[in-house]
Amino acid sequence: MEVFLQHIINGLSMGSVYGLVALGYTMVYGILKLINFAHGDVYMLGAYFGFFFAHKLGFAETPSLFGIVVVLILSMISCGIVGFLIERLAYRPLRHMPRINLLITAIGVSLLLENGGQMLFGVDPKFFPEMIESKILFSFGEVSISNFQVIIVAVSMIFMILIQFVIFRTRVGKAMQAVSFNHTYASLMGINIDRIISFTFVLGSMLAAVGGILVRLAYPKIDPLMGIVFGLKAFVAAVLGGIGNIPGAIVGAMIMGLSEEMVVGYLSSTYRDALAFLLLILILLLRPAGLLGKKSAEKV
Amino acid sequence: MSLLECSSLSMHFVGLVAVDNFSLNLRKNELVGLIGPNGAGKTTIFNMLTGVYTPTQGNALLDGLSLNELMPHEITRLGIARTFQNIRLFKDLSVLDNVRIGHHIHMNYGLSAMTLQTQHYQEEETKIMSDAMELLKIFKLENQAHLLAKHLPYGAQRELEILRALAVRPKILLLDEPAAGMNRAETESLMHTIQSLRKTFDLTILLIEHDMKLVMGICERILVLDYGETIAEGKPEEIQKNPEVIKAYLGEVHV
Amino acid sequence: MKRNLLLFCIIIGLLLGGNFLFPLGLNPYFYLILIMCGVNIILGVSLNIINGMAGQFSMGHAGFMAVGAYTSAAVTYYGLLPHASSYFTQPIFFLISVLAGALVSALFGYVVGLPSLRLRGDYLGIVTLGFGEIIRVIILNMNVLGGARGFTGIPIWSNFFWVGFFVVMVVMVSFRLRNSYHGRALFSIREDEVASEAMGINISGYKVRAFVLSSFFAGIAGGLFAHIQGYLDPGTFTFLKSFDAIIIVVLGGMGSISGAVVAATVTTILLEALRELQRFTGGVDLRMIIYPVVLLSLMLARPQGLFGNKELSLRKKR
Repeated sequence: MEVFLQHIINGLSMGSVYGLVALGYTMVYGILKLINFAHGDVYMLGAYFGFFFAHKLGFAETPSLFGIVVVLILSMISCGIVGFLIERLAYRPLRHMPRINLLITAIGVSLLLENGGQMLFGVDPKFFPEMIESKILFSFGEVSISNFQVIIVAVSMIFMILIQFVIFRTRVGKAMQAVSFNHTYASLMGINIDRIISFTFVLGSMLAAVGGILVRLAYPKIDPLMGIVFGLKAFVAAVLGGIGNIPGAIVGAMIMGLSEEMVVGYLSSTYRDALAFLLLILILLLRPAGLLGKKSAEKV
Repeated sequence: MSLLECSSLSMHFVGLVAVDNFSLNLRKNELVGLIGPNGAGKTTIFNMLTGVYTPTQGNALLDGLSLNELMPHEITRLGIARTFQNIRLFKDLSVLDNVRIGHHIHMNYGLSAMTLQTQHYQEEETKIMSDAMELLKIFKLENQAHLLAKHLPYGAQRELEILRALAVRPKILLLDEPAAGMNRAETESLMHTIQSLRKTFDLTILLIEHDMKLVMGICERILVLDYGETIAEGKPEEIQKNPEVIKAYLGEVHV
Repeated sequence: MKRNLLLFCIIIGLLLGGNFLFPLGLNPYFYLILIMCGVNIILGVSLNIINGMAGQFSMGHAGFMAVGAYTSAAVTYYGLLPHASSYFTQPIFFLISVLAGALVSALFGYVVGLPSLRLRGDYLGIVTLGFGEIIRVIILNMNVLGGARGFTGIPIWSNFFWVGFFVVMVVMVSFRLRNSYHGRALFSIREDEVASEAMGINISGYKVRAFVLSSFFAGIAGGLFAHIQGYLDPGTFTFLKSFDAIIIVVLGGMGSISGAVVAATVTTILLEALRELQRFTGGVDLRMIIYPVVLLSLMLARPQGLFGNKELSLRKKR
């Protein structure tokens, strides 16, 4: 029982980070109907930016709470810029082309980031500096909650709530929703589509950066290809909840995190990554709209 | 003896009744018009008749055979072909190919005949090639046979869609706003063409249109829909004087 | 019929001739590239059927090639090799082996094709990608197929004749498909599924058939590939291999068979040329950078590829 609870805690903790990245996928899909393959790689870049800033600004040697906050913010800004550039240079020129072309482009950008990363950073993994000391905060019996997990969940929750606030309670957010329904009508209402789309990419990329750094607390190893598997899982989470659906991304992410933890805990860790593919295929075959998604019919 | 019998066809979406209790007895070679304000449910009826939607209630019988559970391509094989309100041509294919795809249900050579280009293959291909060219001549498109469909002017695209449906050699032809975007002269020409097509191809035609001159000019019978319900049915002269119809289109009757 | 027979004999003659002359004239390295071109042509043309003609975005094509390769290798190694092969039986054995690979691959194509009916565009791409990966992982874990160490001991039976023969067959069938009502049906599905169905086309049936034919051909490519260097390395059939095929189809122009042929040749040769350059870049696989750059440039500058929807034609348009 207590082991089970531990798994739940671990699962929720990973789930909240999946949620951050899943939100990025879902927001971009919502406004562009595009699966941004490169998003997982932005997560990877977030980690590398963090690594870079931590070392450059000296926080690696003298870890502190202030340090990690600064690193986080700088990484968020950097990833925001990257996201903006990707949209501007690779996706915007192709916006009116058939979906297949966009999909191929997204794959191309993803490959470029991954392999460019390998060329720039080297193929060997690096280790993110330990900025906060690991501590057990609470424990009852066999169950323990570390400060890492609390931070991960807390910070993720803060950002997720912030994003929901932005999308559902601000004018910009309403504009985003409008664009996700129909570009033409939104622009007829006076909304600057290009700006809203850029804004969405920036937001999503910043969330990915947060995810990239948060996960480092628990898993300090970083390598240029780490975005592939993580991105896939976050993507599956988004699809699970219903791609394009904001609360759905969070729900799907929790399910993803929990089931992954259960599989690792009770079955074997070799199936960990396969689980994502399995879940994906299952949901696409059984309920492609996702758990919270709506089926939309094509008008004939 | 009706060719197409619709009884109480209804289409209920969640929160919206698109069509309610639509009934129609279409007799062979009739030319019937379906009119009504936008959103009245006319195209939805076409969609039900062609298998795109499954009616939530009611029945459609073609020569006594129920269409309700059939897939669109099966219904086409039974003899119903259509055009679309928003043109749905195969844009990146040639004009000729668009028409020849209409011939699909009449082709039956298999993979080996295709690979070896046997006598059978050549005969069938020659046959539909000449039939396609003949069809193109109806709207004087034979010289644009190799043009991509997307490069045709709008009016020609509408005409091509009709030709594509004709290639199917249907019993019943469903035309969805064939005159949309056409000027007076083009519409007149279309009117004559539709009537002559009916004779040449032994067609029964059900027609959705907003252009009243065309509808009143060629339809023998007209049904009027508003908010999914049939509010009037009769000959053109009767419909023109019907106050319900006038109210549906124009609002209050002005005295 | 007579015309077909005559054509067939001429082609066989040319291929046999080439098979004799090329190894004499070319050094082994270039001969190898020539053969690889052929295999890649078959791979590209096969993907073109499902991606370019039917418009179904399949991203796991490497999986089908892998199935064909490993099945063919297994049939040869376990089934045929134990029986002494002579000059006369070897061609028959090889034919059986390659076709066996193709048939099993076609079966997988059917299995993947079925769920594809319910998925569109991006989702289909992801699921087929998933299937490709799953196939790869399964093969990796099958020790009878060599597991992670690879499958060795395959006789080198692929030569100019056989590769050329299958290239001719696959390209010819593809062209004849294009010029038939079946091919037109596939194109119509790509263009507009709703209208296609309204014209009486059973789109589900055709999509599945497209997957089956496409994977059958991919299986042929795999079977030929297995017998080129005598061993199979499971690391060959990753997503990158699927991407090889996608690049060929996109570069050539989605739907264009001759485009795929040209693009396959160009990419095979270019990649080999670049491999030499790798000596100067410290070993990083340049493919990884070139591919995305080429893809992105194509998408931005000339998304219709080399030939768009058209073909190189020797005769008047039909």
